[in-house]
Amino acid sequence: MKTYFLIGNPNTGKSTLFNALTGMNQKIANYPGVTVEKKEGFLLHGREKIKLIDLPGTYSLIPGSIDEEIAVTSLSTEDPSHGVICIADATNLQQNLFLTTQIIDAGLPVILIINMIDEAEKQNLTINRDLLSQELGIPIFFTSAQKKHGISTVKNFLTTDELKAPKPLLPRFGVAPRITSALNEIATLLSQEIGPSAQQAHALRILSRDDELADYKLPLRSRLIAKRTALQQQLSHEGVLWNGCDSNVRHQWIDGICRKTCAQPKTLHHRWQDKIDDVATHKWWGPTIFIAIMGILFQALFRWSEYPMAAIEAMLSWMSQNATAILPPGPIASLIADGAIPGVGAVFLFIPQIAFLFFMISLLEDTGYMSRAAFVMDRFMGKFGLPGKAFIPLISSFACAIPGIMATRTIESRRDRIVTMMIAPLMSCSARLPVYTLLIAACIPAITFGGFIGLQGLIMWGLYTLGIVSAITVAFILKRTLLSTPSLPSFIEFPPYRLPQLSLVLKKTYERVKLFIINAGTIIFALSIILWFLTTYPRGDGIESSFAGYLGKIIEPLIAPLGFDWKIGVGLIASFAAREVFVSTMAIIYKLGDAGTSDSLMQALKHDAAFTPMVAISLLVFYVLACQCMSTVAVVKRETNTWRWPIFMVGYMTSLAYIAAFVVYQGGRMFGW
Amino acid sequence: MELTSLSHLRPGDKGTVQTINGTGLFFTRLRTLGLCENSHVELLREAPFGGPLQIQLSGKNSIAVPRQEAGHILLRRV
Repeated sequence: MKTYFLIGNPNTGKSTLFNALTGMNQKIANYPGVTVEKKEGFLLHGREKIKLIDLPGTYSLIPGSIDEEIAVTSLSTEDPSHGVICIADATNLQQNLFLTTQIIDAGLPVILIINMIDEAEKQNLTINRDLLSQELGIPIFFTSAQKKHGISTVKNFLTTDELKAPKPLLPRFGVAPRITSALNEIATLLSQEIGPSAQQAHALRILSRDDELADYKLPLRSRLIAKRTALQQQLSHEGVLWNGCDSNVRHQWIDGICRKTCAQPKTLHHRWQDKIDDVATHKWWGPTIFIAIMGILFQALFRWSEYPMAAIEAMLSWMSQNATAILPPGPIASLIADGAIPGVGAVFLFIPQIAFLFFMISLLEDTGYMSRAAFVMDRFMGKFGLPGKAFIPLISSFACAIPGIMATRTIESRRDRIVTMMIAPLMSCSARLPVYTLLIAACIPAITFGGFIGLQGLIMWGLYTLGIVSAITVAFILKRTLLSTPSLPSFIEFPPYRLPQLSLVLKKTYERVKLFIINAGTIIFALSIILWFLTTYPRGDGIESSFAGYLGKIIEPLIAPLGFDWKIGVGLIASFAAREVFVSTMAIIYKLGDAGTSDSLMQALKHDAAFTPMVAISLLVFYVLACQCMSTVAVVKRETNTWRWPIFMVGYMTSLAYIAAFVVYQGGRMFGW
Repeated sequence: MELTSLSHLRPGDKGTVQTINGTGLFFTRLRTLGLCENSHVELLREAPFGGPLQIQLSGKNSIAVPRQEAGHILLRRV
């Protein structure tokens, strides 16, 4: 089957084009080792079927982030011999042609799709397609993917024609002779790995760079670096400018081509966009708007998702009751009603919140606002040694650390990225909420100060604040100790404001929810079954004589200084894998069976003398700080590609939780509380 | 005429890039985005509290660069 690769700058409508070409015939997986989504789709046209691979957006073949690195290495490790589809934004053609000419010089067959042609027409931009096609030596198509214009012509072409590799453009750039001789020296090193047609282009890119060339494999990389450094020193000595020898000549050449083929009016950027930016990034209005938007996001997360969550809860408890009623009593009925259904429930209960969060984040991303938020927050985050971009993953972590950690991939510096991952689970995620709600409602008296500030609400606010303050402190310490080298500078892109497409936003939301169900769901479900087993067997007088009760009693001396008894011990053991399991475990311990009705559990805790307000606060502090989430650990392992960081995370968070709970409980006792 | 660094521009000021003194991947990437010798830039905005600088590159791309790195970019005012 023919396979084409789709590549282009960010914000060119690449996803929209990919959807328009493939329809619903897509599958999304992850690239091995990283959580960059690998999107594959099939283009069906008549009897023909061809495969399309959507690469992450990139500005050039010199990668600057993980996303870009994957786009670039995919072109060299997979087989792009059938062809590359390059997509460009018609309203920003000159910049977009940079990548196109690099791909032409890489010796790959390529077609260029100039998208958003309707917007260009609105701005009175004209492009002489035939002349441009002749100059670049590749077929060019005009599309407006959002309106589905020009798609069928592209489909026709892709399914019927065979693409040929165009002539490289590099010889026409007029590279200085001194540089050319240096390029030949680098090219000889490449002759083993790279085909003759692409060697010069590779050499030009290598000579223009002074970084570690992470996109080349060892041992070639070290030989290239040695050669390159020697050549650069020599050139500098002779007074020849080598940095940017790729980008400068390329931009210059493209500039000439665009003068010939494009006509554009003088003013380029939109006035209304500037007006919005003036407000959105204003010294005072900027942060105000940002905080207001985050407020709405939280409202959506906690208030609006209450109703679907309540519905799911009711449905699960109905299912549980019916399973007990229908099935003959015995281990099977117990497994289904007390193990499987609450297990599935623990997964499904969080779907409304995760869906809401991703819907809002995708919406904000697609409007272009997110980068303005990063810009406004940059200085604030910089105080803790983190880039402005880290704000978004951290905010996401209030719903769930898993998507938050996945969202760190936009941070270029690996060290900053790891720091962000390490502190993300300290943000109080939605899985902690059931624990917070239960313990506060059951153990904290409903006192009101001054008529309107409730103690219960105050404690809830305190728990969120504790998480945030701890995260900031840990980031501060990590940046000065383990991850201390100066972080790499990075820039923030400002995509133009656009009206988001609901279908794309919904699709993204759906994909992320699916990923959560698969990633976290399987682990939580499996653990629920194990827990059911531990709490049910050996059969006898309830949980106290079960395996779980036994384990709880073993750890009791260890947790007694925190004010916890063996019952809480069982809850902690159960929560090690997923903290929300605490509630259902307590329900089982108090022989309530049904995990759905938290009201009865609240009553049971209220009447248990062991649950004093001090114990509850100590336990709450523990839950704020402890890393009780196997899925988070698994995601960190996959993102960092090592066990070192997930183990470090579990270690420091557990110690922090233990120490903090100890201090709170013992301190409280000293005051006689 | 004297050269000024990008970090000394005020919002609305424009210039032509003369020299880029920085090294590393960051500056290589800026170059691919068109911020190279002889290109035009305009300082659009400064982030609150001494944060990064938003600049308009020739073409439609607009990016924000840290103040410190902006200091390595020398230009001639237009």
